Amino acid sequence: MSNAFLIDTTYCIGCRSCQVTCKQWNELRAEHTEMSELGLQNPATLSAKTFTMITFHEIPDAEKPGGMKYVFAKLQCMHCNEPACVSACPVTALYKTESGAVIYDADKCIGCRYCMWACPFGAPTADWDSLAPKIHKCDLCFDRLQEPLPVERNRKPLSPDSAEREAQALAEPACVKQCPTEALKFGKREDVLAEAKARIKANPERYIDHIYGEKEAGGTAVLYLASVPFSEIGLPDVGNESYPAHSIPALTAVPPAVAILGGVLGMTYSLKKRKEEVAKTEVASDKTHGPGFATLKTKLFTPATILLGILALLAGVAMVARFALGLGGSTNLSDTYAWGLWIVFDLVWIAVAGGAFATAGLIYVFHRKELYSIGRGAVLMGLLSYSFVMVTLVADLGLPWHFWQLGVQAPEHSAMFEVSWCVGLYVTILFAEFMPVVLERLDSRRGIELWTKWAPIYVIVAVSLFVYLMSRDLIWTAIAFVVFAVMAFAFRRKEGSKPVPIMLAIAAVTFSTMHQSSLGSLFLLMPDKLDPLWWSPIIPVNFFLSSIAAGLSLVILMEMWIAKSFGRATKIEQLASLARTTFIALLIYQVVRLGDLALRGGFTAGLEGPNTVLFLIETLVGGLLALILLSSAKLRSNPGVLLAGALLCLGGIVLNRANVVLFAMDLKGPIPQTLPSAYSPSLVEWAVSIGLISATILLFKIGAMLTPVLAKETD
Amino acid sequence: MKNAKAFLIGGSNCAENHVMAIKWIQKAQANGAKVIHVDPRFTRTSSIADIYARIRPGTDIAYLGAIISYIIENKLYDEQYLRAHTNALYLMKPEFAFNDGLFSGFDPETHKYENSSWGYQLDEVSKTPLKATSFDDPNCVFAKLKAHYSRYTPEVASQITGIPAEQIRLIAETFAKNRPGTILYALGMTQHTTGAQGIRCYGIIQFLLGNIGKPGGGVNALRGEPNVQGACDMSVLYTYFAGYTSQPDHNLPTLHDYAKKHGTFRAKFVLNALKAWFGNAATAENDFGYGWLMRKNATKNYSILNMLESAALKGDLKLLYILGQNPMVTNPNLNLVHETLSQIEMIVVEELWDTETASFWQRPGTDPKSIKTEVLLLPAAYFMEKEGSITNSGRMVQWRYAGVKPPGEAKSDLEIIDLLYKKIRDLYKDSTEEKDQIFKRAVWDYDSPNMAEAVLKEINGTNLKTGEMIGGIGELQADGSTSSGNWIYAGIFKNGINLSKRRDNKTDPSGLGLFPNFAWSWPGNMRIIYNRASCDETGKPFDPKNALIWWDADKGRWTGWDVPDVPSLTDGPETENGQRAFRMTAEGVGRMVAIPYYHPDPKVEGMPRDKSSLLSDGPIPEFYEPVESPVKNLLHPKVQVNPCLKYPRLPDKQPIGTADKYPYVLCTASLAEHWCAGSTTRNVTWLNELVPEPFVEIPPKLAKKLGVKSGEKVRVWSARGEVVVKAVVTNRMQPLKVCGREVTTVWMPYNWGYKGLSKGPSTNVITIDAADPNVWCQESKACLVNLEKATSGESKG
Repeated sequence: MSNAFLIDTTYCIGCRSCQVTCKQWNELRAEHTEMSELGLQNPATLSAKTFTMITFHEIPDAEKPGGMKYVFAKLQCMHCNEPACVSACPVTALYKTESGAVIYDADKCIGCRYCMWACPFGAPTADWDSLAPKIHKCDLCFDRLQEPLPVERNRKPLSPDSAEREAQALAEPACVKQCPTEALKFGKREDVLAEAKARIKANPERYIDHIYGEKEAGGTAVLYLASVPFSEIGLPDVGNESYPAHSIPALTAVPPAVAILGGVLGMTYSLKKRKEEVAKTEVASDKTHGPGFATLKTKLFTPATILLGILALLAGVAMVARFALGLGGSTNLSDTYAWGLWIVFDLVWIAVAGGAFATAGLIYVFHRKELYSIGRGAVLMGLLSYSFVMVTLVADLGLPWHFWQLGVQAPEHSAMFEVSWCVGLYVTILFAEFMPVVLERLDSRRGIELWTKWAPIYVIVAVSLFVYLMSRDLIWTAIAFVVFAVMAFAFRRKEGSKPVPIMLAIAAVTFSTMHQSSLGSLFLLMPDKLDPLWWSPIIPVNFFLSSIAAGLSLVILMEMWIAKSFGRATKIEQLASLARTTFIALLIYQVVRLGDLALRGGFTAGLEGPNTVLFLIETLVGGLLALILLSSAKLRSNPGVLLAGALLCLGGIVLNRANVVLFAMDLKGPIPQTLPSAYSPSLVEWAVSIGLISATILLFKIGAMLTPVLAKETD
Repeated sequence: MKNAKAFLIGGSNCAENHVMAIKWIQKAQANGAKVIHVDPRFTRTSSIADIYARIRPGTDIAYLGAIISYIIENKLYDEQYLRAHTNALYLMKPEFAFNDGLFSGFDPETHKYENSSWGYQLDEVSKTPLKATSFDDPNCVFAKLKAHYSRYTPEVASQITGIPAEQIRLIAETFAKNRPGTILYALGMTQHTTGAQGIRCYGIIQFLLGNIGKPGGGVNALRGEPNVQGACDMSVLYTYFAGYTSQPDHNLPTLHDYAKKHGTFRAKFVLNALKAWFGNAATAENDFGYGWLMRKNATKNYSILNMLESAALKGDLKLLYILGQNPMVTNPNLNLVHETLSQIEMIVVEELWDTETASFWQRPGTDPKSIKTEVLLLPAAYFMEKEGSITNSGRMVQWRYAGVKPPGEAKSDLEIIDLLYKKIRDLYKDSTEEKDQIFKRAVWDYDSPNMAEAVLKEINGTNLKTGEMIGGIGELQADGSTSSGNWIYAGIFKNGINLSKRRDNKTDPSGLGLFPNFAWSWPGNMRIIYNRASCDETGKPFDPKNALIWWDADKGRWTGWDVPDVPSLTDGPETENGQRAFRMTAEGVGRMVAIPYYHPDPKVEGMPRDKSSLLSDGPIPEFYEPVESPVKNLLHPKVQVNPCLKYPRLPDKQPIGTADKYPYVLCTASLAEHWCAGSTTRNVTWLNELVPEPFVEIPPKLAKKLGVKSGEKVRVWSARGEVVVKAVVTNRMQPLKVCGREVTTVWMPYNWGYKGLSKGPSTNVITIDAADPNVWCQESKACLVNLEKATSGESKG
């Protein structure tokens, strides 16, 4: 039976005893405040030190005594029936109890702060003063219920009457207990709702005919009555739909999608392979695979690499600063901008590192043998990128040392959980993909053999584990296991043939599809914040499709950069071929995105929003112009045009990610959502992000010098 | 209060300062009661009001007079009640007069009234007042009132107060037609040079409407401190002795003299107090030790303002012992307060914190070396750290236990006084001087495990013959056979049981919320005082549905849900005692006008039984402007302010600002979030978070003129001093139309000082230290100031 409380603002006199009592019961520190344009209201919003507060509203009304309504509204976590924060949490640190309270377990929390972004009310806040910021919010005083009852008072045993009163007092939240008026009532949600309805019925002229929270966000455990529209007293219009309902379909689709996608990729591989066998066009793989690979012979120390090295070192220093000063002390993140530059970089990085899976997929699954020579570079770039995303995440997480909780907790439908596992497993796949390069460099036949034998098995295990974690369902796990086991068996190395990492490629594509799309799913919980030009129920699809185009663009750019900076020939044919695929990917992405937008009426509202310019740059410059530049084989074969096309395509998608995280986000911060939203990344944030990118590039060069990553130059 | 049908909240911001009152107001409101709030600023209390009237500070008597007039002119009064329970029909002396703002008998030299012309026409034989038969008799009290207030038309009142005339009519209409109605007030009503008379208006209105003595009626003084009622009961007020008996003074050397002046009734209780304090040493032979008491000098005024000024002028205040007060924040005209404190040789402060008073020598801008005063700070315990009783505004005494032990060396006030007294007693043990006898004779034996309860037992009193605890006031004797430290508390320890510990919050047979078995109310556990007035002459309740008490003819006694407020339970309606609904007045009835009268004691020949108390500044409330006012007194321009007021008392230190230099009216008050001097609350960071600093609330129109926005600093200064605080610009403040011109009121909280976790300038640097001539309550609610946008951040305060 779920509890709820009623806040009848018409009875509230703004005495704020609830606000102080809350601090007392929860032992919260005071905020440093000043008198401001908010009048008597202090502080301005909820925070990690303020779980509940009264907002003051002077609402002109000529009909009323004194020509105004002076309305006081108590704000706190709404304890949604289907909480966005709980849905967001990857480690079930936030959960809804049977009693109706949404509560938080700091021991589980990894500090990802996704809950802060997901909550339409901005109820979860972080203690930025702390070296390891945890989430703080109202927990409906669920701990009061666990408080042992006193057995004596005034040196006498407690009378049954007093014991009963004591028990009653502890059975309701501290704020409700303290309220001197009828403004706060606590009880079973049905009863409280019935009382709210009865109050309106008994006094229709006292109230507007709406119980805020009855239906808002799918219903909440905090119900409001007021004499004025709720928008005037700091309660946002969050719609009536449950927020998790937006993301649940996408996330429940993951386990079947893994099995199906794996199967489809396997079948594609078989068909292509059979076609090749039938056509008997298969020649010695060495030949198909081109000239083979060699280590890069060049000077390590150049002005560019020294600069990169310095930047990378600065990132190291910044990382130290990050942990010495804490997240709040080293970044400009806030309760409003709980995510910032680092998340933009993560999203951009993962999107552009999509080149690794895209090329692996093209080469192995789709038998685009002509691309074979750039595969290793793409994989190394992917491995390094993802690794540094992980490093950034360590910096970004408030409590990174709780990461192991991801392994032991079972959230129901958290995009963050999906992304965490999927990215984690994908990094191991990337590592496995890159293994042969290292083994080849070490000339370890034994290593290659072991790799050949165990890599497919690892894929089966990893995929099955992933499906199990996502579904907690043995049937789906079994299906995924069977699909991948059958493929592993079917695609086992034939005696005498060269090992083909097809299972790793299939896994790479599968995992990437899942997490690239799930990165988009992260934002499904934010229809209230993300501009509708970006928010879409198919944002996962958009993210996935764009990551292919972005990834391939980056591979093209990377190859051109390698050629240029190491004085190698530009393999323009190969790159043009890749650009063709890029063109197709970009085209599909843009058609899907714009088509979806059009179908959902996104254009009928007119392109007048504040973010229209950004949208137009994304779609016209990064989309249309890039498509034009990459549209014909002739254009693609022109290095300049190719460069421009790839750059625009990449730039458009980079901008897309930045828009989704920052620019097109209407972040309002904690309720009453009145704080001006402003964010500019701190020096530490910039240093970490830029430094780690520098490190990626630098390490790529070192990697290419140490291991046979780049194709042998054919003179 | 939940039984009330109407509330007039005037001079109180109860939603912020007496929050629990709102609970009951809202319960009544849910049953259809109307809430009227009259206040210079729209507050959290106004937010729940059905009628809100904005008033110019200090002009309450003008609109209340108009309401009285409206009730009389429109015959909205309760005639039966007036006849039965008030002096409305009593005949006043024909020579009584009121002309041009002055009552008859005024001496402009002394600023005092010679009040012989104010009395009743007395029966030659019985010496009791003569009564008219009709309200039309021009000499009856009712007719005098009617004539007096005929000048107070809603239009005139509107000119003075700024409240629209229509709204004054609406208030009168609403309050008169929704009965019973109750009135709530606090310092907003009393901190004026006409404060006491303003409260008299409330009494008159409630008498007219028959609203006293009934559930849902009455006048509620919302008291500022949790136990200020208890403290006043125990004679913390300088004019009173225990239980509101008068202080003995040097003109009354014997108990007999005392009885002659103040009546035998009260003398009896002084005697019982003497027995409680001196025990066996108090005998009939030695006048029960009356002579050992320290008596006031009848020519001196012992209010804090006068005491401090006396220190500054004459240096005759050597030692000041301050507990529970922080005058360096709460007294007006703080620069003068600081100067006066510096003249005192020694100050002892008993406090929880190092307050602005305890460290007055550290005041910013002061050179500590220049101050010779020695200050001792004794660490006191917080209320949660000590056991004892606490009495609320409803006279209910509740026992509180210590929740935690005081920290460090801190002790309860009781322990500190106990230790101090014993030490002093030791120092005087060899003295043979008469003035020191009090130390040798007083019984001081509270050394029990429960010191507070030992004191309460003494307060309750003992039957010295049987040794049993006194069970009620009726048991107290005038022959020295009983004792009672404070007669109004007699019976709280009936049968040796501390009744204030009772906590039965379920038994309420009346359904009126009386809960007779919850704690204990003085006198005699009576919940609604003057409840005899809820019945007609025959003893039948006026409103049978809300009956409180009644005369049970069969049993021959007064009975009911509440303890009947009658002199004797068995004296029926046919007796004189059976008609004394207001038995504490000499007349036995409610006094619409307050004029001199001695009620002869039927038992003691030639002695008065009771004496009616008087206000010094007139028998009928009259409107006078605050000392600093932006306008001329519309009713009598020649008598601008209260004629009995002496201000400035120290002309060079008490300048009076004029409207040409100080065009705005400043009203000051406390906040929900900080309490009084803020000594405690400003050390609570949670409260500092809510209101972190002092500020001035100003209307948008003035803000525009000054060019300030909320959060920007403003300099506020008066003839006495200046402060710089942040502005809070709000529509809750609005200018008023007064006497044909626009008058702007600004408002400031007074709770800050230079000590504690939250420091800020004290508003009382600028307030005026004029005071009501009756009770010496300071005029903190109205003075004139000027404002400008601050260029530098610091204030001199």
